[in-house]
Amino acid sequence: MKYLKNRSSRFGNHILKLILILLAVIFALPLYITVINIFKPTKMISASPMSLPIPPILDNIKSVLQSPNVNIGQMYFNSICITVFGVGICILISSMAAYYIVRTKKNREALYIFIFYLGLWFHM
Amino acid sequence: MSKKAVSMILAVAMMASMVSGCGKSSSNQPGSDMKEPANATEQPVNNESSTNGEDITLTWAVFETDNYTAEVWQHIIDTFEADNPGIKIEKVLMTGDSRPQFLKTMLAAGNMPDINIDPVDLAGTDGIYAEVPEELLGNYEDASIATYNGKHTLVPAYKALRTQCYYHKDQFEEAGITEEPKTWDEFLDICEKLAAAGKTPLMGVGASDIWATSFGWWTGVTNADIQKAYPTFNEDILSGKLKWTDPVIADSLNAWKTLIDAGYYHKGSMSFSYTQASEEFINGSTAMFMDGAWSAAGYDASGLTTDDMGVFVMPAPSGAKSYCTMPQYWGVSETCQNKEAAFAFCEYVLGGNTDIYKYYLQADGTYSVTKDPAEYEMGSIQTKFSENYKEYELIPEIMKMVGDTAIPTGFEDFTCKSLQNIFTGASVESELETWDAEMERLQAASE
Amino acid sequence: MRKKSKLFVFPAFLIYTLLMIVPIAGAFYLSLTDWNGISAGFNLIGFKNYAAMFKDTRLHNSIGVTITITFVVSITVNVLGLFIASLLNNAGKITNTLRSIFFLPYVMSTVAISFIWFSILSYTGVLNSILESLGFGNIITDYIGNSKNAILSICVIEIWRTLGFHMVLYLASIQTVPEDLYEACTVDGGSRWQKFRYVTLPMIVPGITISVIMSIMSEMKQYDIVKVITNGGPGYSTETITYNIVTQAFGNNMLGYSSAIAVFLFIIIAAVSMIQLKAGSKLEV
Repeated sequence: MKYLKNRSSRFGNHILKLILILLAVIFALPLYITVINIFKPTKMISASPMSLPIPPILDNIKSVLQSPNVNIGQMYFNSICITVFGVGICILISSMAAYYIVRTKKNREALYIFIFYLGLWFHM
Repeated sequence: MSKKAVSMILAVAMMASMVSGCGKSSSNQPGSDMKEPANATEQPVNNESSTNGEDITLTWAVFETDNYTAEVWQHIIDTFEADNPGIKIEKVLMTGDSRPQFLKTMLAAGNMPDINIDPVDLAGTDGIYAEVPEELLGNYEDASIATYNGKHTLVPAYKALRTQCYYHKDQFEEAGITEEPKTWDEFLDICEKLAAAGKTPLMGVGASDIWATSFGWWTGVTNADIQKAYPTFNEDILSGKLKWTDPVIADSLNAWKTLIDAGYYHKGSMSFSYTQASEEFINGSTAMFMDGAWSAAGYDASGLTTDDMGVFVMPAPSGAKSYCTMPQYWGVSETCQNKEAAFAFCEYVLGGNTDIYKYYLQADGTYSVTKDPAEYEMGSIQTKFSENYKEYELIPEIMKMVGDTAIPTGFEDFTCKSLQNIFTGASVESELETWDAEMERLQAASE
Repeated sequence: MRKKSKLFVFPAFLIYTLLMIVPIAGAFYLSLTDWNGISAGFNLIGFKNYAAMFKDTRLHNSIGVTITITFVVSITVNVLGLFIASLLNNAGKITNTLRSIFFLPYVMSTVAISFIWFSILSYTGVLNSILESLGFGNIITDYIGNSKNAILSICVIEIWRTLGFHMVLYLASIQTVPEDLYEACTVDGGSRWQKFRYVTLPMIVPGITISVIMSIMSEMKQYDIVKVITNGGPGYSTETITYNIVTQAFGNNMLGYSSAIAVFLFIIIAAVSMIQLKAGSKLEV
């Protein structure tokens, strides 16, 4: 396919790539700000939010992990439990249902598919 | 870096945080999430407390603020458990900005905590809270006991003073203000002087803390104005004798509007959450802040004195000189299986053990309601705060009245939102017109 | 093996009925009562809740807000998503990294995102500090406390959050378009834009349908961001329908009424989706 691109379209390609990278940078800005603000003391966050944390401090992370309301182990365990069981059972059951639906006659299949699609609407 | 290295690092970080988090002794159940109404079907009510052998476990719903930290609750729990072996208290943190909503979701899920702080919203409905034994009620001032449908279902905990205006003394000096304002005109005067000196007079609150936008003005000024004109306001408004569009209320709110329209509030007020606004005020962004009594205790604890921070009562446009207190209660849920132990806990903390009671009161700067008042050392700012009320008359607070003269549930939130509308420019009269219809609607719904 | 048993479908159907059909039916039933969520008894009051809904101006306001947010976010996300996906298609080596960057906000918890953006959009937050240091001090405004700005802020946050997901959808759809169609277009002398309009667009109509339906449905149920950042906004200006449902249910103790609103929302979303599906199937190539 490369031979089909002539010089002008390759230049346009570069411009578009640049636009893409610019968009990605703007997009990632909030995440970048959050991550670097983890390691900064509060005053520095309000004073210069975009600067790099030099020197980095770990107090914020410590206070979250050691707060008596936060039991990270229990929280992770809960999330992992829910994910593993939920996704596991879901995959198992839905593949079974899908197998049956695919291999039956058309009219019954339509009814089941319609009913299951109803469920899709509430999951977003 | 290769993908493998990145995933290794992430996995190690997760393990490290899990290990350090597990190394604590306390563990508590996270509160249940709010579910969509479509999923709320009726469920059989069961409760948390278990009786394994001789150990009774009670669940205690608490909330945390800058003053009520986790250490405060833990200290109370530890002291109680040391004196009462065989009863264990489990703390349940009421998350979210609306504690009644949290309790209602817990109730709907069948997980109602045994002992609740701030149960006033739900107490209006029969059958949620257990009746308090008369001997326990005898410990408390008669005026503080609440009656719902003829029954005494709540244990008085404390009473809190409400709101005054805090100010930075250095900013007042720079603007040439020498005295605290005693009348409404003097107050307008100092606002003008501060604006002329290039300072922002007042701090406001917005964002997700809707209650805080109107808190200072409504509880400090409008409440006083209304009660001065109509001493039996609650009964009258509930029976329909008075309407919310009354000129007294409109005048009071219009006075607020003059402050807002003159631009005396900080420009970013509506985007600050309450904690943010407090921080900005402490850092000196504005000269004054109409804030609650809990801040006085906080300022004292952080080392400020009356040399830096002054406080005066907001002068009301109608000249009323009164103040209100908000009573707070604890309730024991009807679903509790160990009511004796639960009431024993209430009795212990709320007066039984005077040291713990003082500790509890001191945390938030509140005042005791026991017949034998428990007094504690107050810092300079808090002392000034309570001394300011020496010549003032004590009146009930309209929105917080409990018992049969209480305003219907949900109305206070409605008024907070409406007052926010006024803050952002709506006209006072058009907003007040919506209050009557809403109150009728909520009254009809709560029957 | 030709044996197929209906039992295969049974467990899925059972869970589905119990966890989905029964609560929805319960909501229908509750909407005909005046239950307040706490007391034990309630009365059947027929369609009074639905009648009350027509007079509720607060509900009308929240419907307006929800429709505004849905419109703005859906259109922006789909157009921008399609644009970025078509760019990414030709990007070559950096496609994967960029795709992850764009998709990352979608996997984060909405509450965490709300806090991040709250600190950015606050009056003394990151955005205003950057604007000041760049010298644009005169356009500093309140992004959250001002009613018009608040809705825009919520739209921006939602766009930021869901763009990645739709972009990935579109990328997958675009990559299914067979190459020979593009070659045919080049042979016929088609430019880049004509390729896009006459080859790509018609072929990805099913993808567009799904993406638009999903964005509309998820925006109509917007709640988390509104609750955490503005709590319904200054006054009522950023209340969405779901926010109204939850407040009426647990704030005002009117569970029957809020169930009626929930049923109403369900009907609207179902109707909109069905219209979309019909239109999509007609446009399919």
